[in-house]
Amino acid sequence: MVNMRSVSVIGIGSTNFGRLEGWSLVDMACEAANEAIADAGVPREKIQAFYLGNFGSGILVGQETIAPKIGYQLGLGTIPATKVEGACASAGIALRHGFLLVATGLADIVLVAGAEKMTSATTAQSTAALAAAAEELEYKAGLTFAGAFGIWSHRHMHEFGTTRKQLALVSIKNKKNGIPNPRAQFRKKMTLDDVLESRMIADPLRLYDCCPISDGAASLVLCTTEMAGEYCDKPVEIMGSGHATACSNIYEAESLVQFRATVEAARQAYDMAGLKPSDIDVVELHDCFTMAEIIDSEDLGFFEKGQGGPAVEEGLTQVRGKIPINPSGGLLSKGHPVGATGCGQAYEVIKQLRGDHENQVSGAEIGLAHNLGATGAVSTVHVFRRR
Amino acid sequence: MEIVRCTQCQRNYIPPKYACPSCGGTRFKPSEIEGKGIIESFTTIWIAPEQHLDQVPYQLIVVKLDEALRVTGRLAGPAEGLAIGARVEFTEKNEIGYWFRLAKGKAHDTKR
Repeated sequence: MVNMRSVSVIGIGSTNFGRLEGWSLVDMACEAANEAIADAGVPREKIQAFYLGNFGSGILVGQETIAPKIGYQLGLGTIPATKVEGACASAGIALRHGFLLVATGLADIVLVAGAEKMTSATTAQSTAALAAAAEELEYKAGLTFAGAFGIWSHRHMHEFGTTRKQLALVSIKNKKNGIPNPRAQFRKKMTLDDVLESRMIADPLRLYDCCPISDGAASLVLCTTEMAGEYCDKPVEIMGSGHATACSNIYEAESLVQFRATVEAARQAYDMAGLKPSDIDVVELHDCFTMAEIIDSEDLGFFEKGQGGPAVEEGLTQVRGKIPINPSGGLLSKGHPVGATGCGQAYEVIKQLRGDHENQVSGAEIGLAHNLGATGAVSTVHVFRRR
Repeated sequence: MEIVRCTQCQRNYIPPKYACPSCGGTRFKPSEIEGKGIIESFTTIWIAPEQHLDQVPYQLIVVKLDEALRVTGRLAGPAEGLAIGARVEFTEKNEIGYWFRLAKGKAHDTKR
């Protein structure tokens, strides 16, 4: 194995998430990337590669070869510009590949971004995009992603006694966390009745158990830690990076209450960082549905399997709790522009570790970002530490 | 119900594989099973993709077949008695996929 170099994040940028009328996919990506480049204070000609996370540009906005188009608009010259795709984990994978390029010594400075334009798509386009990420047998049977999480929810409730109220409390917490976050799509308090009386989507999940459809982009500039001080007085080191694949459907997965890709990506990231779950001060994890947050919080090792529900009810995952989860508002509140989410999560964690987040976790030094794609098929986990 | 069996480790699968996810074997033989099993989990879909709008609400079930493999399918017939552990039997396979109906008999507690 090659000697890995230490990699740090020296610049961050993000658009707001939500319905961004009049903004194209390229506009959003360039806006976020320009903000990250300016934040890093790095001259454009020093950037040696660009990775873009994007899920469905071909289906959703009729654009392909999107990374070179964005790279050109950004004035990045002839450097390689590559799109990576893993449904909702696309931007986590982009971060992973930027990290690998710098860690292995093939580049010193790399730009990564994630972007998705969803609100301009027709119902037929959205349906086609959904079909493209799902497994054929399950999609043809009429399964939706809410339906998949409905199935996993019932099983988790059956095995561990997780309650409908505990699911609602995830949504209430994340909606509350979104209020101070200017990038969040939802900035409104929600009550138990609001969640429990919202319309049924896929039993037992209701409307406010589900993340919204969003536009948005986020971007990071990565640099060797050795050089980071030249550009940035608050570099955040990437201590660990994990990326794993698992079964791409429900019925052949080993478990209906655990995502194997998350467990494996987390193991890799913790091992590389030499850290354990109890070392983490702040977490942004993939809460596309309320039950996703509960399962993820267990898979990442913060709670024993089956204890994620009670942990929410006891307030352990609140901003001032034992392990603050999704202080940004998470996908439930901030929104879920599919291919942007992984970079958006890293953006929020890095803001926390810099100590300038709008919903700051006091004294946060080590943070974790977890991204999950498709029907549990792919996951990335990154562990960050302020220097 | 038609399935395939890995000739190396004897694991059963429904859609054929290029290599067995369990042992890496590349030879499979077709096999026929009765299609009886129990519901491991389920959901009722209220917001559906366009091509299923006329069927709402409909039930999706994950069935653990007696031959130690699972499949995601649709519930045919009345949903009264739909629960984890309820016994089901295969009725047909069509363009939507695998259909099952609730069978008579006591529900099994499948909690670990």
